[in-house]
Amino acid sequence: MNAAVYAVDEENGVRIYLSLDLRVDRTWWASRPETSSAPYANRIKHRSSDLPKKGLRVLSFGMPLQWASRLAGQSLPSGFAKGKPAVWERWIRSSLRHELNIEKPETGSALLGLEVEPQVQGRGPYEESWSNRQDRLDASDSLSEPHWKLRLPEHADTLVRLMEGRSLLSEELISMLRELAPEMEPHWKPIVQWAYLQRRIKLCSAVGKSGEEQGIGSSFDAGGLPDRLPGKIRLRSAGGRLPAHRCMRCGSEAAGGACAACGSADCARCEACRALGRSRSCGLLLQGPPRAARGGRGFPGAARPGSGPAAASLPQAALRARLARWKLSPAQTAAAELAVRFLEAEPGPARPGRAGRELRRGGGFFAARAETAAAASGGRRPDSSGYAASDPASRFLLWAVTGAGKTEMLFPLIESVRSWGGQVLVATPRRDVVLELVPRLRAAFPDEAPAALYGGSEERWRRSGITLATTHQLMRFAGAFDLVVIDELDAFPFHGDPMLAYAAEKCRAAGGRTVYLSATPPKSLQSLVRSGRLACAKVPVRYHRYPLPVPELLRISPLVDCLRRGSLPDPLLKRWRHSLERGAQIFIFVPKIVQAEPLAALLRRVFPEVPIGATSSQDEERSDKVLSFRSADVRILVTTTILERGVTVPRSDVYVWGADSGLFDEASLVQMAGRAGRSADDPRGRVVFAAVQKTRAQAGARRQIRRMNRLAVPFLLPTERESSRTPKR
Amino acid sequence: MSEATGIFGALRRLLSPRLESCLVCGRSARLGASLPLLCESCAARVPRIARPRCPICGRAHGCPDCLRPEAALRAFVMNRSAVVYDAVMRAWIAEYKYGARERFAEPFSILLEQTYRRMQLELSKPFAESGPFAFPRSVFDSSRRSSAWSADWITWVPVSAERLEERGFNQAELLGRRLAGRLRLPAGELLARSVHTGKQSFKTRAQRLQNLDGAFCLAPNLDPRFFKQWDSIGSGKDPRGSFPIRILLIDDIYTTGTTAAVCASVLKTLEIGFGRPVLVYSLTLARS
Repeated sequence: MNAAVYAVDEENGVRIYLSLDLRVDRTWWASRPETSSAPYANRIKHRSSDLPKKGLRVLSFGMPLQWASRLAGQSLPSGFAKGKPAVWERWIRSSLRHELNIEKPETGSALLGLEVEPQVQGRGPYEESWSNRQDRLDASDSLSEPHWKLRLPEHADTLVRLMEGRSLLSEELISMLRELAPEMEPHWKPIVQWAYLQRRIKLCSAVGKSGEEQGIGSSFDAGGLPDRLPGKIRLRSAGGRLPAHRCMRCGSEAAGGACAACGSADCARCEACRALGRSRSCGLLLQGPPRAARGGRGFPGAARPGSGPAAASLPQAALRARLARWKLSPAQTAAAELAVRFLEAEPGPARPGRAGRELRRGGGFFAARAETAAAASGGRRPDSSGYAASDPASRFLLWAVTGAGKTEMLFPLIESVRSWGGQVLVATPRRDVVLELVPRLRAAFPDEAPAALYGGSEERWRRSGITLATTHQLMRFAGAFDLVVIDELDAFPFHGDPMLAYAAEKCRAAGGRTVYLSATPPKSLQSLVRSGRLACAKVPVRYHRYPLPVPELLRISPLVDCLRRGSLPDPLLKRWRHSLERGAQIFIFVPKIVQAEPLAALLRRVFPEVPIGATSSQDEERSDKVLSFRSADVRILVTTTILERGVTVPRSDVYVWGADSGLFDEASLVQMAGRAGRSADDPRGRVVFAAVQKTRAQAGARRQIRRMNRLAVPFLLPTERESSRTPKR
Repeated sequence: MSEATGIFGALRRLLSPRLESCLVCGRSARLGASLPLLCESCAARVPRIARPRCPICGRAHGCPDCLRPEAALRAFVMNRSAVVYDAVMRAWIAEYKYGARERFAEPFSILLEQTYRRMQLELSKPFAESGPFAFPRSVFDSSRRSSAWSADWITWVPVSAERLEERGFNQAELLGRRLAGRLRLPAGELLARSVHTGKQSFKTRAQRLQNLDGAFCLAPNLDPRFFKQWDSIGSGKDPRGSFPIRILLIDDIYTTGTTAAVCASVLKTLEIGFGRPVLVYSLTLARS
């Protein structure tokens, strides 16, 4: 996309603007008194007489958007207003010297768009005034003038409302308008331009450059720089570290290349977030206003309208009474209480660390700070633990064992934020979890109609007080949510993806809170909790109040050998027979996809009368197989880590063969062990880690489960409490 | 100490295999053994057309299209495609075209190059008299005389300005330019799209034909140097000056051959300005 660039002589200097449609800018500036900065609500007056005297200067009638966006927003000393064309050209060339260095000289000049039309009688393009242009522009005006002008402010208001808390590419904007405001879609450029001039939305190129030196414009001396930069300077800037392209939407680095859309030789396209549309240097990224602080939010405890005293000052009994509606188990209630108190507490001195005071500056600030900290310490981008460490005061970890009933515990949190009109987001890495959560949230909050966002979702652009989304969808938001819940923080693809962590930071509104939900939080978060910097509530017991099954470590010959020999080891066979006899479903986890089907074949030979299935991430019929396993049509399911979480089978035993494989870490072993004993009917499933050797991951997983069981003692059923006192093994 | 780690670091880098993530599956593996940027298992999924069944359109299986009477009127000589347009290639080409993953141009252009080489072999050996491939005699005579068949100019199917703005690149041009670089053949734009037609993939055969009628024209300001160059190519090969110029037309997918036929007939109009016969050969990445 190309954009025009022009300069306006304002009170405190000359300011550069970019334009998607110069007609709009003409109308805008014509409607404004010479020097005032009147509010945008001013009615537009058509005063054609003072059009040319506005001190407006079109610098370019169209240059690649990324260049225009670099120039736009800069302020220059007012002396520039009367500058000669050559001065302006020099300024532009020096501001864009990195960009122009990469272009061929002749294409670079053409792309700047400085001379779109032949010069008339020695007049440079810069002296082109609005009236000169007027005829040409009016001729191409397809909109009937009065209609277009009258509706523009109204449409801009609509646009700003739709864009609140959003960060969208122009293609996404068009698709949103098509759905929500079809009459605005054909004129989206004028409307966007109007809102930009009102400074209510931000426009920038979707892929920007990072690490560029600051203040090119301000340090520039009008007469100082020669027309063409001498070879020395050029060599240095070429030899030094060129600024890298960085996607403004997802924060990833991108590689530049020739682009036919803008003509530049160094237009970068972001491959990391390509699943959500083309983000490229010459693409337009629109950022709506961040969510405005409403109803005294900022200090929610102090001035929340009409929901009674805040939880922080509430006696325990009163808070309990509020939570009673959700019918939680004692352990769930205890954790939910802590979390609600955290949400409704005043940020600041009460919390450790200095970050509380900075909280209100918003997620973007912390994202930027964590980024710079990471850049200083070796250039790796932070994950969510990194963000948490840089700003722990606004975050809360809900550490709930597998099968604890995490979703139910969310309800009081959502209710608390919704009670004062806050926006809630529940994000999860996987689509099927979104689909599973939607009906439960709809049932819990029948008045809210939660919106579900995922790839291929029907309601892509619907907004609601409660939003359920896959973590990828968060890239379409900026500063939108007062409560961000990240479910299964440690699951693929969220875990270890800096892009998604960045999106989860960016989507949070100023003063918003983040709640992480996990059964197996990453080590770095655990240590933040241990050092007391991150608030945390543990739910050590399952909803049925039985302890977690503790894994048995079994020494066995390697799976590969057994597959080669075609025989299965007796200790495992004995246990499998026992599991089958007691009517349990058997999960067998293996490290590699290629081992799943051969092992299933071998098992079918040994247990000819038992239905046996195998599945993996590459299996098209995976969901069908899981369903038939759940309904006990298949008794033994051989699988990989793909099913380590999210699958609940009522009566099941878990065997991990090859538990010493490097592909199974402590978290995934705990998750796999968490598949056993999920239901109240069969709370004591069997978990076996079969391996050649005992590894740190296996020992750690067992230790973690035992520790949780110890913490669970006060919450266990009375009968269980007795038995747990007698030491195990 | 730092020097030692430097040396060991360099040694380590030298000795350890260079693992990069595969363009398709993203796994780290040793790439580029058979196709650049792709791991072995992904490269093995490419459904190459080793031996085309249809001598005209290069289809891997029987081809009713080329038996239609109107097929004989098509302005291109033949088409060859590198791969079958199956589910795998559909996904890859979609990634390349719509997903802005231009790096696919690298393996794709290698596939095109291999197909071009096969095409060369095929066309350079004299045809049997009774072959199913009715061809102007004189062409073969001259081609036998002047060693091997080769294209003289590479061009590609253009896309409309709207599409270019949307995608940021012409998928066929990128392939064509890379192929030309590999083969050291001259390349350049000869065609332009005069009207913006919808996507061909949503249309039926009849619609496709009607849709493309007049959709292409010669590129507006063709550089006269092109013709000079051609002249010298032609006279170099055949001093008596009756030698045809062979244009290789690159596109991503060949479905009914309509696009290739329309483009070829436009390219044929070059004969008027140029005064030599023009033969158009189509080379596409995929054949559906």
